[in-house]
This record gives sequence, C-alpha cells and structure tokens, in this order.
Amino acid sequence: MLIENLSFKFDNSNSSDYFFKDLTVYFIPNHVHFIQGDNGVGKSTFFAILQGAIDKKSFLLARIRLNELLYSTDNNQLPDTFTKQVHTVQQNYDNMIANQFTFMENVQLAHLPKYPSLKSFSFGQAGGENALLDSVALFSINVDKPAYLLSGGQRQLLAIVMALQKPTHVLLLDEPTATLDKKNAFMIIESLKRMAQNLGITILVTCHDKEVVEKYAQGNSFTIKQSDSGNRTLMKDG
Amino acid sequence: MINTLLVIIEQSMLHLPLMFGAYISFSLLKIPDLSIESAYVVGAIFGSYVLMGTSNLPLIGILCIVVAASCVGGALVGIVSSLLTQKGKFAHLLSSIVTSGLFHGINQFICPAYVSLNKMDNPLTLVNVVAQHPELIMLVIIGFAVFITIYFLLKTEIGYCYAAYGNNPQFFKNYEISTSFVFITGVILANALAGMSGYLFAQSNSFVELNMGVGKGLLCITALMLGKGLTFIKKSFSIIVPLVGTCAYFTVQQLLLKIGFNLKYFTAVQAIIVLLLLIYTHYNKPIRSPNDGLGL
Repeated sequence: MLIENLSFKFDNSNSSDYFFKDLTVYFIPNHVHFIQGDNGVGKSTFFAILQGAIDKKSFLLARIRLNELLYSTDNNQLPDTFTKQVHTVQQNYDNMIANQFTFMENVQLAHLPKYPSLKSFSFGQAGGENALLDSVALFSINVDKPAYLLSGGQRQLLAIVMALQKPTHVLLLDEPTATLDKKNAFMIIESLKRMAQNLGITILVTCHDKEVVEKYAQGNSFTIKQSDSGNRTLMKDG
Repeated sequence: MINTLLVIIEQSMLHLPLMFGAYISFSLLKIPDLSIESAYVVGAIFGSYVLMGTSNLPLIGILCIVVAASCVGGALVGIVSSLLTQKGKFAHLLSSIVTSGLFHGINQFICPAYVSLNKMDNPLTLVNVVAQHPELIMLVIIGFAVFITIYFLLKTEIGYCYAAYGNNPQFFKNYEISTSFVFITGVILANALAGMSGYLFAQSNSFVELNMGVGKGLLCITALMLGKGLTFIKKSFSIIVPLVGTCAYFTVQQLLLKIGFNLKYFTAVQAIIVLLLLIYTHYNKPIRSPNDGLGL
C-alpha cells in the first residue's frame, strides 16, 4: 500500500495548521508493520484517516495505491471503495464482541449483512477460514465456550478474526498487545504475521512495547513524530 | 383443581404474546421498553374497532383480521418509540415514556374510557370444546402459533442479532451491520406482540379500558424473572423462559387466590418476588459472568 502526498488538517479553513503535510509512505503487502509514537502524537488520527472516520469538516488530500488500484480523495474523503477494505481492531476489543455468545457464534455474527434477514443463522459461512483454523489451534480455543470465559489473548484474537469476516485488504490494530502478558502478546503478533501472509493483507499495528517491535518488526517499524512546524511525519525507523 | 388449571392455561395463553414481546425487548435487546404498556392498549383498541367493522365475515376471517389489526396497533407504538431512540438519539427509557404519554392522549381522544364488546362476535369462540372456557382452545392455538413463530425467528439472523444487541449495543457498528435496523425491528415486533395480547385480553373480558395496560410492565418483569429462575438455561437465550415464566406467574396468582388472597395487593407480591430474585441472583453470581443488563 503506497500512500502518496497525504495532507490533512482538522478544519477545512485556509489556515496552514496541517496535521500531516505531503506524507508519503509505503507499506509492504502481506506484512505486519509497527507504528510507534508518543501518546497523542497522531497514531489514532492516521488510522481514522485510512478508515474514512474523520470529521466531515476536516481537510484531506491523498492518493493511495492498493493492489494496483489508485484511490484519490474526493471532497475531503477517501472513496468507500477503499475504506470498505480497511478494518480495525480497537484497543478495547471487548467492544467488538458479544460476550454471551460462543467464539463461533461471534464469528458468524460478524459475517452478517448490513440488514440481517429471516434466513437461518447457520455456521459454515465464515470467511478467512485459514485465519480462523490457525488461530483456534494456536490458542487452544474452545469454540463452544461463551466469549466472556475466554482469556484476554483469546478474546483479542476473536476480535481480529471477526474483523476479517468482511473483505479486508488492510487491517489496523490499535495497541493489540497493551493488555496482554508477553507470551500472549508474542502469540498475537505471530498470528498476525501468518494472517498477513495467508490472507494477503497489509497489517498496521500501533505498539508501545519496544520488545515486541524489536522482535517482530524486521525493518517494518515506523514512528510518527511532530516536527518543529507542528506537522506530523511518519518515518521508517533506522 | 381442573378448573384452576384451565384458568392458569387460559390466562397464560392470553398473556403469552405480551410475554414474548417483553422477552424480546427486556431480555434480548435488554432495553427498558415501557411502551409495551401503551402498545397493549393501542392493540386492544385497534382490534376492537376493526372487530366492530367486520361483523358480516365468518369468524375465522374476523379472527385473522382483528389479530392483524391489533398487531399493527402495537407496532405503531413500537415504530414511534424506536424511531425516537434511534433517530432522536434519546435514551430508550425516555423515548418509551414520551411515547406512552403521547399514545395515552391519543387514546383518550379516539376512544371512550370503556368500550364494551359484549354485542360483537367473539372470534375466540371459533372452536368451543370446553363449555366453561369457550375461548380456551383458540387461545391455545394462537399461543402455539406465536410460540412456533418466535421459536423459528430466534433461529434466524435477525433473531440472533436481537440477543447480540442486548449483549453489546456497540457490536454491529464494527461489522457494517445496521444497528438501527436491528433495534427498530426488535422494538416493533415486541410492541406488535404486546398489541396482540391487548386485543386477546380485551376480547376475553369483553371490554376495552384505557388503563388496562397499567402494571403490564411489572407483570412481564416478574414472569421473565420467574422463567429465568426456574429454567436454569445456560444458552445465551431460550424461548422456554417466557413460556415457563408466564405459566409460573399465573400459577402463583391462582394459588394465592385459592388461599383467599385479595388480588388487589398482588402488585406488592410481584415486587417482592422480583426483589427476592434480584437479591438471590446478585449473591449467587459467578465471578466471571457477562453483563446481564436488566437482569432478565
């Protein structure tokens, strides 16, 4: 995914207070990328831009190449055809789960259309099967257990699998390891790396855990910094 | 004894649609849907007014039309309260109180305080087998039809979504599923069922009275808590809960009558039952348990 000349500011006025100015960055397809930066520096804003979740009063100009297609902003918004391919796993992943339902029921619920119908709620239609089977095996998940009885790592993984139930080419994860112990944190990142390869998706992860980044980034770590002029830059580390 | 049993069955069947409606809103969607009390009355009014205009039809035709009309009446209340919540962005408790006030005023305007149905055809006597309870068979048939319908509905995509909404109202926005659609259809369905019960009750008692919905919310809460307490269901939802709850509620009521209890104090008994069940649930809650919303 190549982001070219991304400029963003929170209001559409003539002020020169750009948050991002002419940002160009390349993320390698089928890989996991880590994005670091101090709290409040703009990691969430960057994700919100890619999701198309920014305020309509904002100014946004960008061109994004994804899977050999070019998407350009129109009227300060990225086109739906792009943003529909981008899915997010929030830091508070429990917001994405129906706790009383089992792992499999949750996955199936995430797969439903915009207007659920009177069709029988049946299993076996879930997407991203590779990711699902891989994760279930790696985390020894009992798929018939209600989600509230799963561990934090297992619920985090459930949220990731659920996010992948709609066609996804870019997956954004906000601090997926923040509430996990080291063992579970490493297992989550291992799973993400496999998902990126097997499902052909570009994954961006915000992470404050230096140990995780050092172990798994392999040259794919970036840092958002605020320059003297106030603009944010997104630079590849090293 | 047999007669008491028949009364319990008859009362349970009269209230079964209301209980399924309350189950959808209170237990599945987990919302304080007080508008079911209004839907109950509006359903009774719609059904009764349509009944007055269908006297020349065969009883089966009358039955189908008036039951459909009562559902429409109840659904109308659901449409208003759910739209207020979803489009007006009010808390549903506020929306349902405002809706109740609105429809209470409209009811006063369109309907006298008391409407007798004595001179009308009674479509509930279509199959009259038990002499002392001429409406019993039809009520059981209607109750069974509603049970089967809700049973299959809860196995559908939208049925699961009602329970998922109650579990986590933020759930759907993460997956491009319309939260409004799930919420609005759920509330409309719940209120339509309450409307049907309102008509059945009015027909069975041969009158419509504008305050007949008062206390139905507490009735539903009591019955649902009894149903949940008696069934020990571990699944995320089960249609058995409202069925068992309704029967248990009217069994308790009839037993109290048997020992000479004055039913005008029964709301106090309901409140005590709810309180005891809440205290029991609170102190016996497992350490790891999901948020149970209204506790129903």
